[in-house]
Amino acid sequence: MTRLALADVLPAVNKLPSLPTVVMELLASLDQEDVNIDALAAKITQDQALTAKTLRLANSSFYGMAHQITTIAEAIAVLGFRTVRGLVTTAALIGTFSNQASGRLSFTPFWRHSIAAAVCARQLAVQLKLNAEQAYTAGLLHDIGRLVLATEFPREFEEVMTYRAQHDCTPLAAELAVLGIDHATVGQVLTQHWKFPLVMQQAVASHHAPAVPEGQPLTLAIQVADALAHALDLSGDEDDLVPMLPRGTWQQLGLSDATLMTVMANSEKQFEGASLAINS
Amino acid sequence: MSTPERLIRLDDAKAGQILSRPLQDARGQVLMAADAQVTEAAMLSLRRRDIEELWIYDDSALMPDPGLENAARSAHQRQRLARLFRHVVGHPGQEGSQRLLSLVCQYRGVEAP
Repeated sequence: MTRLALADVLPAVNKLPSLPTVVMELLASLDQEDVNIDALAAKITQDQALTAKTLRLANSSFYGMAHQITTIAEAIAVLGFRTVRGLVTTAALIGTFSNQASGRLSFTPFWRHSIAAAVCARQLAVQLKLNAEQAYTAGLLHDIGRLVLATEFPREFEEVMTYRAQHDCTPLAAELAVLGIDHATVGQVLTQHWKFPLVMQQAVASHHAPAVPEGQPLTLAIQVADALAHALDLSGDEDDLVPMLPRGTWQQLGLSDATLMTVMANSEKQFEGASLAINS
Repeated sequence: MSTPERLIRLDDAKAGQILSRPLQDARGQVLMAADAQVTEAAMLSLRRRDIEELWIYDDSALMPDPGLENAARSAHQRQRLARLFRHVVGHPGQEGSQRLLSLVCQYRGVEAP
């Protein structure tokens, strides 16, 4: 067994590439009421790779545009700022890790699950009257610690995957058994490094907590969104396993069955378009 | 599994049907081979030769039955849910996860595995 300490993880996280400045600004804008859309659009345009990816997504058949969208300003006018912000951040976050070898972690199922959790989180947030776009991003990043472990500690991660296959357990259980540290903690370190809002750091850190403390509705939403995304079988991973949800989760969430049916239906519909970002 | 077939009257035959057995006249001469397709011209010719019946592949048995298709889909979904929730199904307790399983079954319109 190879144990990892937080002291081993911190330097690895610090040497990870930073997110593009414009993405940091877009993420910072998630909890701002007054957003200067024109200024952000101009900044997105300065990043040619990101602009190209965003326009490819906006022009995909999912959005059914009658004519070709050629500029970020036009994409915002037609699809709305929130949709474009979601497309840009998804493309940027996936792009940050796409060039790194991820060993035994399969890239596509990983991002399919992350995007599924993101759309579930957004739908739950709408019903819970939380910041929907912040929930989307927290959902997208909730398992980012797994990607850090796979890319920065490939040998240790290999042991985790072997243990998981032998014991048919969750990634969390395998990480704790082999490394003594789990992806939620590693994810928290990364979201701190990237200076994400505190509520998002909490949500990433505690999405497998045995009980979500009162007063952390985003954490609760991410925990449920993660389980929902697994239960809806959207990752495409044959060996997928739904993680345990703590007793009392549903009372704490306080949503009716009918509302939860709507959340599942809308999440499945949105997943199709959102998941196009993976191979763009 | 062999393809289902049925014996039909020539009057009930339709162009496009496929013979499941060779068609012979009273003297045992093969008029049409197995797997030959029935055409309007062939039916006229067979009537002139006093053929009254023929064996054809039973298309209706090959057509998917919507009821059976739904049943197959439900069975597959239940099986998949049992796999996804393999740490929950058959393990009492785990109230939070049991509730999630019940909600997803309701959403998929299937009985809990």
